[in-house]
Amino acid sequence: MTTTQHMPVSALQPQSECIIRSLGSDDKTAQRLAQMGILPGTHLHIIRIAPLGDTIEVTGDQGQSFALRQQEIAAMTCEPVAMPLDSELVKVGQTYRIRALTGGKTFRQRMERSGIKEKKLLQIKRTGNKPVLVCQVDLNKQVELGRGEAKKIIIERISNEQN
Amino acid sequence: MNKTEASVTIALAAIPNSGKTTLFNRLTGSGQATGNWPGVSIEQKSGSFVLGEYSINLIDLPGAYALSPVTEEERVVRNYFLQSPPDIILNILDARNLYRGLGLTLQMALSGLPMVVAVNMIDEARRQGISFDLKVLSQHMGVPVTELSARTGEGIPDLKQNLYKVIKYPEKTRNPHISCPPLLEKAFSEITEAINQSGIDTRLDHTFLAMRLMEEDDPEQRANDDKVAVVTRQWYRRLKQSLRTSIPVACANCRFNAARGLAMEVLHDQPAFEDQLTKQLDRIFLHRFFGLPIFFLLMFLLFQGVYGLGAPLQELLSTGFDRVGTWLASQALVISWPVWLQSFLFDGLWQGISVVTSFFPIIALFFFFMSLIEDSGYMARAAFLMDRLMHWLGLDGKAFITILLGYGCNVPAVQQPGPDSWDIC
Repeated sequence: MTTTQHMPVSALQPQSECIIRSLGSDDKTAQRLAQMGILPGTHLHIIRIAPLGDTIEVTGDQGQSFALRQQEIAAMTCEPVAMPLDSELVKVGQTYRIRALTGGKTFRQRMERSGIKEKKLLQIKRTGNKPVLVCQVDLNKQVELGRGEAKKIIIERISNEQN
Repeated sequence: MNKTEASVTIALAAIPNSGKTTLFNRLTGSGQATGNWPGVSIEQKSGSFVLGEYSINLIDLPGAYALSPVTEEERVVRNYFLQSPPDIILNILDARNLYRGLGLTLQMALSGLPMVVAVNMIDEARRQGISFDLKVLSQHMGVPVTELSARTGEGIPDLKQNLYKVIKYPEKTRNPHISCPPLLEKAFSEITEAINQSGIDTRLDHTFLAMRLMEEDDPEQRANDDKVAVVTRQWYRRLKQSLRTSIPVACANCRFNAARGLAMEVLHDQPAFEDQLTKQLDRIFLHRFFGLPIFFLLMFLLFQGVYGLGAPLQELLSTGFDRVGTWLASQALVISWPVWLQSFLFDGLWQGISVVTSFFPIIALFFFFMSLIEDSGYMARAAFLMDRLMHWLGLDGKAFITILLGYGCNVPAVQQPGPDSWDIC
């Protein structure tokens, strides 16, 4: 099962990644993107969001970097690869691998104490508006994370073997 | 190409930010003329230089990502190629990212016109640890490829030599083949056949013309032969139904698939170390919280620098002019002149020159600081930071640069040719 969908704004965080499946319904925008080498099948890596929001720096597979507006990305349909833990793309019951912790040093240290660090697996127990409940798979330990914390944890789908 | 004709037109075509303007200036020096492309407010620049026994007319085309136009600039480039094909195309690729520019390069290589490719910013690429085998690129595309740095001048003699060879010994090179889905290929070949039969007289390759037709929104109207129009209409309808994307997107897909393979073959070493310095600097200058304060600080410094240094100079110049004026006016010879002449010379002419000249330091300083900012690559970052604000005004991030220029002098701000002339990185 691969999910192709519009990337919700919440999923557009630095270090997120998605594979473009279609460039959206606006032909002119699609053509513009295609001419710059952004095509269906391209992995988009979100690098950063401009301080005022809306403008997003992304890179493609070939290392070319672009600034896109939020609406241009939102119009595409994508297959999410990596997203923040608080995103609505995260499914209960699924297991994900931690790709990066985007917060500061103190935050990382605090997370590491609960075994949450890069490359570790997390199984999602609860999402929604309540704190996110995850299970650190190696330690088989449940950890409750606030929304703010979850936002700073970027997780990636593990390859499709279990889907 | 007619060998007895000594004047050769070369069109400089590349995607934005590939160092086109720098190369143009490097090749033509001061022999430049500017104007507008007919009907649009896009600057047309042409220059001339001498190459052996040929006099070259170099036309700087606006930056375009493809010959199937989306922007006004691309429309200008498309029209230029279709209506008055140049003798030779000079294309530029950015050595730091070949893939990005190859889409356009491949499109132009199919045109059937002689082409020379310049791989620019080779010094930057080397610094990043990128190395490649340009022979492979040259063989695949069937065109000469030169590596150079327009900024330092490295490789320019090689480029000139390649251009000279192409002019002197024009040979028909084979066009590169780009594989497309079978249905598209079939469409192209049938339309090409129709164009062949229409007996059209052009130096452009007929398959190239077929592709240009199919990538337009209104291919039928553009066909100037009834039979071509019929075939085009049939295929246009059929493709629209059976392709999952629009035709231009499908074509771009074919091009970039080829470009990806080509870039992979040409590149020897992926950068061993990425451009860490740029990355670190970006992290600071585009920081979520510090980015904007840094931006405003830099702008503050810019204006402080310009007016802090410029105002005293301005003062100095205008008092100088005043003194000289008063001294001249008090000369016995001058006093003997009629009053109207004195008034014309001193209150009119001298005053006028004095006012205009006293602005000079400020304008010069402003452009000096702007060029520092531009060369550092911060301009593109500033555009990224300001994009939201500008978008809200119905402009895009780069428009902020124009606004900034207006502070120095309104003339260059109004003249500002468009986003293409600002190089990122």
